[in-house]
Amino acid sequence: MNNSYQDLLERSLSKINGDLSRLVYLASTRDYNTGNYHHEGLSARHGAEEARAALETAHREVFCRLATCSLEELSAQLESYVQKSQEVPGEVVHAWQELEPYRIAMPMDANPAAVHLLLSNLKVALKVLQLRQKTNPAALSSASLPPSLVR
Amino acid sequence: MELIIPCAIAFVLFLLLFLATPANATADESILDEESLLHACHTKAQCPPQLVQRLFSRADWEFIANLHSAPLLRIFRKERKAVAVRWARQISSELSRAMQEHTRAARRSADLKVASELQLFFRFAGLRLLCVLLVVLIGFADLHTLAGLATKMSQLAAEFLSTRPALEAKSHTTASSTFDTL
Repeated sequence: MNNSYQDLLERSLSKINGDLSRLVYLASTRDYNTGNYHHEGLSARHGAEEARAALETAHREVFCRLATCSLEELSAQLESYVQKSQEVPGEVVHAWQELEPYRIAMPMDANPAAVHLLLSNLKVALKVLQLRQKTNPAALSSASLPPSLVR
Repeated sequence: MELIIPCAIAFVLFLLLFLATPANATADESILDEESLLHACHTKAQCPPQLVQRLFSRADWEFIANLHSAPLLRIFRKERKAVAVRWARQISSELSRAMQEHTRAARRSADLKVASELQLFFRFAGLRLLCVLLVVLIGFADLHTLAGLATKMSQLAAEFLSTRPALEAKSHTTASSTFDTL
C-alpha cells in the first residue's frame, strides 16, 4: 500500500492546494452506492485493492487534519476553494449553504465528534465568507491563500 | 455566584476520580502524534486530544470575535456549544456501553473481586456525573473556559475505556474455566 499511497501523494494530492480541496477530490473518488474508492491511473499501476486502500487512507488523513485545524485556517481554505472554482463566489457560497454538499465528503466510520466539528466549522466558515462578501465584495476575488496553507 | 456550586461539585468529582484512577493510568499524558491522531479520528470509542482542544479552543472564539459581527458570534457560539454537547453525550454513552458489557461479562465470572468492581463502578459513576456537569456548564459558560475540564474528562474516559478489554478477557477466561469444571 505504501507505494500506491506515495504515488497518490506525489502525482495527485501534491498538485492540489489545501486540504479542503483534497477532501473534496478524494471523496469524489468514492462510489456513492458502495463506499469503495476507485482511481483509474492508480489502479492500473498498483492494482485496484492497493489503490482503494491508498485513497481511503489519504481521505482519512486529510479529514483528520481538517477536523482539528483552526477556524481561521479553514475559512482561508474555503476562500481559496471558492476562488479556484471559477464560478461566481456568491453563488458557490449560497449553493454550499443550501445543499451542504460537504456532508458527503466525510469518510465512512469517522469519529462522530470529529465529523460534527468539521461540519459545524464549515457552516461557520461559510458565514464568515458571506460576511466578508457583504463588507468587501472585492475581497473574495482578490484574496489569496496564505503560503503556510499550501502544502 | 451561579458557578460556585457546579465548580464545587466538579472539584469533588475530580478528587474522587483521581483517587479511583490507577497510578499507571495517569502516567502517560503525552500529546498524540499524527499517526495516533489518525487512528483516534477513526476510532468511534475515543476522541483525539487535539479534537477536544479544538472544540474548546480560545483561538477560534477570538477569530470570530475579531470579525465584529454579533450575528456571526451568536451562530458560532450556538454551533460550537451544540457540537460540545454532542461530544459530551457521545462520551457518556460510550461509557455506559462499556459498563453494560462489563456487567454482562461479570455476571458469568466465578471469582469477582468486590473491591475492584466497586472501584470500577465509582469511576464510572464519577465520569457519568462529570459528563452531566459538563453538559450543564456548556449551557451557560464560554467553552474556552471549560477547556481544562473537558480535556481531563476526555483523558479519564479514554483511560476507563482502555481498561475494558482486560476486564472482558479476564471475565471470559474465568467464565470458560467455570464451564470446564462443570
